[in-house]
Amino acid sequence: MPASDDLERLYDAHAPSLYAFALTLTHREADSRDLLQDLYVKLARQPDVLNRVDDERAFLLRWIRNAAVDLFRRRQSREHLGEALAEQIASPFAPAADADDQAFRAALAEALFELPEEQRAIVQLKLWEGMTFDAIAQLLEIPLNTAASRYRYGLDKLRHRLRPLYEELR
Amino acid sequence: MKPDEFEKALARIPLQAPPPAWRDEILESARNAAIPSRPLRIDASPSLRSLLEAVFRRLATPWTALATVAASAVLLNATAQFIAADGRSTRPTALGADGPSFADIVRNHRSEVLALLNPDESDSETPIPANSPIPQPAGKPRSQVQPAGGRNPEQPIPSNA
Repeated sequence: MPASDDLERLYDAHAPSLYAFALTLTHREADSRDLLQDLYVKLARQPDVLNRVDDERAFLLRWIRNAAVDLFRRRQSREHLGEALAEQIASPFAPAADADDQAFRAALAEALFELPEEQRAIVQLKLWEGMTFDAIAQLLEIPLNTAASRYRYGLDKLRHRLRPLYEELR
Repeated sequence: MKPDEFEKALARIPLQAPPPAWRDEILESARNAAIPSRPLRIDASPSLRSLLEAVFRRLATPWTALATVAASAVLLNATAQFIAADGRSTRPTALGADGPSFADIVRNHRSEVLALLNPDESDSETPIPANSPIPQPAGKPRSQVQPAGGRNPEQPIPSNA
C-alpha cells in the first residue's frame, strides 16, 4: 500500500482538483466528499496502482469520473429528476469577496450544471485543469475530435448564457 | 485553437478546495481501510488435518454454537422418548392394546341409538343383534303426508278460466 506519507502527498497534490471535478460532475458536496474518500480508500488498498502511471492527476481524475458515472446510474433508479434539480447546487468555484464576481461565479456554476455531463466534464478538464484535447480524449476514452467538438458546444452554451452578465462586468 | 477573452476569464476563476477538516478524516479512513484482514493461516503443504484445524480454529464460535444446538436437540429427543415410554406403561388409554375393539365400539353406539329411538324397549334386557336394521318410526313416508286443509299435491291445479 502507499505509505502514509505517500497518501498525504497524493492528497495534498491532487485532492483540490479531484474535489472540484467531483463537484462539477455531481454538484453535491456530500457526493463529492464520498467520491474523494472512496478514491483515497481505493488508493490505500491498491498499493501499486500508480507505479506505472505517467500522469497521476489524469489517472485519478478518470477514477473520479467513473465513480461519478456509477453514482448517477445507481441514483437514476431511485430518484426523480425534479428532486435532484430542486436541491441547492454546490459550486465548484471558490467564493469571491466581490459581490459581482460572486454573482458571476454562481451563474457560471448554474450554467455548468445545465450542460450535459460529457460536455461539463470536458469544459472542466480543459478550462480549469488545463489539459490538452489529446489528454482529455485519452482520459475519457473518446476520439480527439469528439472531445474538441464537445468542448466547443459546451463553451458556446456557457457564452450564450453568461454573455449579458460577462459584458456587464467587463 | 487560441482561447478568446471569455475562455481566459473563465479559466482564471479559482476552484473550491475541499474543507481542511476533511484531510485528516479522509486519510484516516483510507489508512484504516488498508489494514489487511487476518489471513486464514494454512500450512504451505496443507494436509487435511491442518486444513480442518485452521477452519475450526478460525470459526470456533459458530462451530461451538452449532454443536450446542445439535446436543440440545438430541437431549430433548431422548427425554421426550423416555417420558412417552414411561407414560404408556402406567396410564390407561381409551384405545390401548387392552381396550375395546372397533367393532365393540360400533355395536355399543348402535345400541345407544336404538335406545334413543325406542325408549320403551330401551329397558328391555333383550340383546340386539349387531347386524339388525335400525327400525324406522311407524307412519306414512313424508312425501305421502297431506297437510291438513291443504291441497293434495297429486291433484291438478284448477284453472281460473
